[in-house]
Amino acid sequence: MRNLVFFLLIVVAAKAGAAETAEWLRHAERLTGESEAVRERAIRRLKNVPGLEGQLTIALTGPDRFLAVDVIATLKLKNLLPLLIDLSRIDDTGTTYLAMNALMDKDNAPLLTKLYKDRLLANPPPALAARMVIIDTFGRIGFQLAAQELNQLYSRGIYEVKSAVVAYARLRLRAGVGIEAHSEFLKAALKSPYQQLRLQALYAIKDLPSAQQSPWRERLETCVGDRQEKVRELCLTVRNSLD
Amino acid sequence: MFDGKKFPRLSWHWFAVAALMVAVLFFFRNPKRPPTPETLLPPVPSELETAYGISKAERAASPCFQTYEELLSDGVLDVRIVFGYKDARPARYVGDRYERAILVEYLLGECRAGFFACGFDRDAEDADLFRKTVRAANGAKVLVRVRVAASSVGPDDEENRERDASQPQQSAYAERVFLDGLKVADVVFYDGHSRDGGGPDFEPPQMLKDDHVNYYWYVLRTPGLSKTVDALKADSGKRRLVGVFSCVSDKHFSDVLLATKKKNGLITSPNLIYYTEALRNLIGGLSATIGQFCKHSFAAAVRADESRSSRLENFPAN
Repeated sequence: MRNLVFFLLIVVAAKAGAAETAEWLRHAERLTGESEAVRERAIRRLKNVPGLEGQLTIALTGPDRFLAVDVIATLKLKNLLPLLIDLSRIDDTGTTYLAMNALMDKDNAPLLTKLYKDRLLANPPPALAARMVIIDTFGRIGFQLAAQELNQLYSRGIYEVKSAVVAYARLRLRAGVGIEAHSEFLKAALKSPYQQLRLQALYAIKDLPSAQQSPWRERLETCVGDRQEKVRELCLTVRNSLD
Repeated sequence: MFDGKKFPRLSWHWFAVAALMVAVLFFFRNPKRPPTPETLLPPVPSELETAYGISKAERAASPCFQTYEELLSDGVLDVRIVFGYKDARPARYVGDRYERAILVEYLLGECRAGFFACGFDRDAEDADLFRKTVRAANGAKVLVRVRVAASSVGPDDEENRERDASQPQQSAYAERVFLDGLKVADVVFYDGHSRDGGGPDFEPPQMLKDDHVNYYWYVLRTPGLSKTVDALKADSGKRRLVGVFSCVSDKHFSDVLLATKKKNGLITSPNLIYYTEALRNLIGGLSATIGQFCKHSFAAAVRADESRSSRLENFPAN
């Protein structure tokens, strides 16, 4: 009889544990794609899940890791940042970098920006999406990459990385930082074989502060003869707007 | 060397030459490609059934074989994949460029057994265009041409809509790729927001004053769905495969889309779907189409089997 009671207690405890695991997952699935009221309720309920951080730690190594990362970012569980840093070594979707961004504050920013820069310039580099996330993050927070680092990224990177570098340069130019150095990437993009990069550069020039625009009138003389009609048309439009 | 009585004695020089030739041959036959990312690889059924496995005697009577025979009859598999504007309002984050990059890394990566959305080369002048040549099940060469477009120009919705002059043209381009694809392409996949049935959507969202998406606007006007239905109705009768990898797209879109042309194949999502799962199903659908999977294997690849992550209709034919 005692053994039976003991056995039943184990079964109930196991079921209770399983129910809690299922519970955090159920709430995590309601963080996206639902109404704001449902999302807010899910966040409140997640905060009340006992042992949540322990469960998320386990989940980070399994098939529910994307949901676990989402919960960490949404609830800003900064205790778990070291786990995200470790997981980001094998990240092939950029997801952990986005989660780390959600946890970034003035105290951990130096650590994270150093980590991002080291990873970005490493050989082999991280996944393509991760590289884009890092470059975009640097542009958004105003973290300055050296000219030779940007050169390395642009010259060795595939199209998506080049595009992210041009977007970064655009933001730095809009902030009035390193005008000569960052303008070089717009110039390089104007000569790119990829029509998308040439278009991106032209739009970036269009968005420049008026004080930076005058040198570009002459530089846009060549693109009026571009082989792609939409590039030619945009070049003319932008050049005329600079007059 | 050969004394006519025994096997020729070969000096080590010949082995070295042979080894060098094998190495050179291997290098040129297997140009280095980046490794395929692991995380979103679709499941490969343990017993893979494809049109390649159908004998000549059975081909005429095989709906699977005939599906691909029709789809690839012009020697080209024309695929359009468009990532809708993936905002996260009321947050400012927009993620479709990153999802596009994940897919691109698969397209450019090395192939492995049972996975076919790989081994592509990018066009030298058009960064959204990828090509490779395969053999159809009937032995003919087929050019697989995949155009992959994103809708956003940056990861910040406020920057995109208020300070980046290129956003409107990027949205218009993405929508054009999708709608033109519904008229002329063989396969059209959308991975984005459903906008509560008002999608597909390629633009920054209509918002309320509190920065939440104005779903009432989308439900009342159904801008994306109306254009999608019009494009499908305008098609030439060509059979195509359409995938709408967005939340609850089955309930929002299936009946209307299937009513336009019952011959079209359709992949939708029955439930709310996390972005990584939607992308995995899309990659699975692309791989299964290129690999000419038959019904059960195709369903496994897009997880329309017992997983019920997708719903698959009319493709390949039963």
